[in-house]
Amino acid sequence: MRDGFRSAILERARLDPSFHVLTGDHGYALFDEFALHYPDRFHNAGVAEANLVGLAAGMARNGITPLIYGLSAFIPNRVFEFIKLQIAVENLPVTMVGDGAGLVYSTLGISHQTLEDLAIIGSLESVHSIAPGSASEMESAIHWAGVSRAPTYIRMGKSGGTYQESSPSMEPSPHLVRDAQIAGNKKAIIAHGSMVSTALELAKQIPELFDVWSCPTISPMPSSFIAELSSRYSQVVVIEEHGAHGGLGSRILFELANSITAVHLIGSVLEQDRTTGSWEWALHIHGLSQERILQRLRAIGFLS
Amino acid sequence: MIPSASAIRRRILEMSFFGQSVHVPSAFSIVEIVRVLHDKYLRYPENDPNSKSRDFFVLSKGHGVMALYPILESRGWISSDDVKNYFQDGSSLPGLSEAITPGCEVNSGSLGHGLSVAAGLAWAAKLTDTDQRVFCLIGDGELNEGSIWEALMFAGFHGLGNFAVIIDQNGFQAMGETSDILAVADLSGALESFGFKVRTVDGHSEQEIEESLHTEGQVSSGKPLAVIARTTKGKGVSFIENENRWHYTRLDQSTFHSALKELEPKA
Repeated sequence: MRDGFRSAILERARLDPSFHVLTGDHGYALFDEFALHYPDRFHNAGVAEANLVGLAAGMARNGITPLIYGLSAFIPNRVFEFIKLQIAVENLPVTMVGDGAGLVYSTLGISHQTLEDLAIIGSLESVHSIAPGSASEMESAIHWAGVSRAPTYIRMGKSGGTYQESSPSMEPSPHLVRDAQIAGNKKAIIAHGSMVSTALELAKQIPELFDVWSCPTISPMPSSFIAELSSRYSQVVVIEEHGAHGGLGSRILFELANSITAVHLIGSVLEQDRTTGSWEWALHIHGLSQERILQRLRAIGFLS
Repeated sequence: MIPSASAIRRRILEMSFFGQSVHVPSAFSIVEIVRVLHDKYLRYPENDPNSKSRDFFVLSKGHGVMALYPILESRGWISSDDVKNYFQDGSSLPGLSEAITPGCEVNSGSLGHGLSVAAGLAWAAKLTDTDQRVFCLIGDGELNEGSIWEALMFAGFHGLGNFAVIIDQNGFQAMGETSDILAVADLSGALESFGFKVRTVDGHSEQEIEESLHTEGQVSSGKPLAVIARTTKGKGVSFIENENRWHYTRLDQSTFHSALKELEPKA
């Protein structure tokens, strides 16, 4: 995983002269090669994560394309509000890498365990979030963040907890990594990060047959993937080194909720409108006034 | 033509009265500072607020934004209708400063954000060797925020000579006087220890403010500048000055007209 990261940031720097890497005083030895090749484009901003996010936003507004690196316990967890106001709302091309995600630093205790980072960052619609499970998925995540120029959170998990891919892709989209190749198979495990490797190991050890998907893209979730899951499987299990709420499983359920009749989700419809007004006015604009809720209930056929 | 200080204050009163907004004293204390910046320092090639080579002004104390809107109006970046509709349903001007408004660089309704972003703007200018200057205005209550000190340490350590922070030292914050709540005993000494060149001025003297923001030599090297601007919260209207309840009080017909009268141009 870390080798994939090292080579990917070198490649991005080669392709984009405005690409700079900033760390919040983490990543010992991880950036040696990058700093050797690009000494003027590698910076240690110190143990000050809020400032790190603010700096990156300012740099992105003034001609530099930054990647900021820290532990996921701090980026995004510690600095959510800075990410929301200075990067996400403004759609700035900042790549945020949170290392040690999940239980990687389990021995250090609760301060460094991160089982909610995807839930936190997933609440920001404009931020893409990617959780690679292999070195090549990491490379494609770093590459894709540069191509899309969207604010992007890349979740880096256990260095050794990866699987070997047969055919790397330049886009971190969901893909089948084990095809049970049996007629009528209706079961699949979907995973990201270290759990892809775990699912593949399980598949080797037990007789039951099921497909395994790697789904590094948590957000935005491709609608074609949801459609494929719905049409192909009767039973799907999502395994992730993350809390059950707010991670990949929640994202898939959220998308599925819109394709089945039993459950519909009604929340704010607004992401981009920046006008302001009274609370009653804002509820209406966000689709949450009585009148708008009634319209929405009729639109989904809940009311006639 | 940038409006006079008293014209800006009258416009602030109109915005506040018709929109029934608060924060009038916070805007009144910075009027001369934002006037001098726009009149004497900030370079916007072809009056374009999005020019890539512009200087940057970051209003980190975003609740003072009513002082800025009349200037943006005079530059033609926002319309009179925008200003008239401030704080009303469908307003395109946020109650607190947001980057969506031309001339406002940062979403700074939440205190402690603007200085870091401003440092990033200045650092990028230094790394790419432009002659841009970055000015950031913060409040003395805002100094309570830890992120402010992260940004100060960074700017001083990295010698951001193109960076100037102006502290609106009006002595008050939301709930009372800073000296009673949380304050730095020796602000000037603290800023010097962080690597800043420090100047202290009367924050309502345009001449003193202008002189304090001069730099010698190359702006991209050397020490960043900190200007402690001693101001009066609510400056310009006798019954608002240093009365902290006006941080939250809305103008009614009587107080609106009394305040306007105090700000009428002298014959």
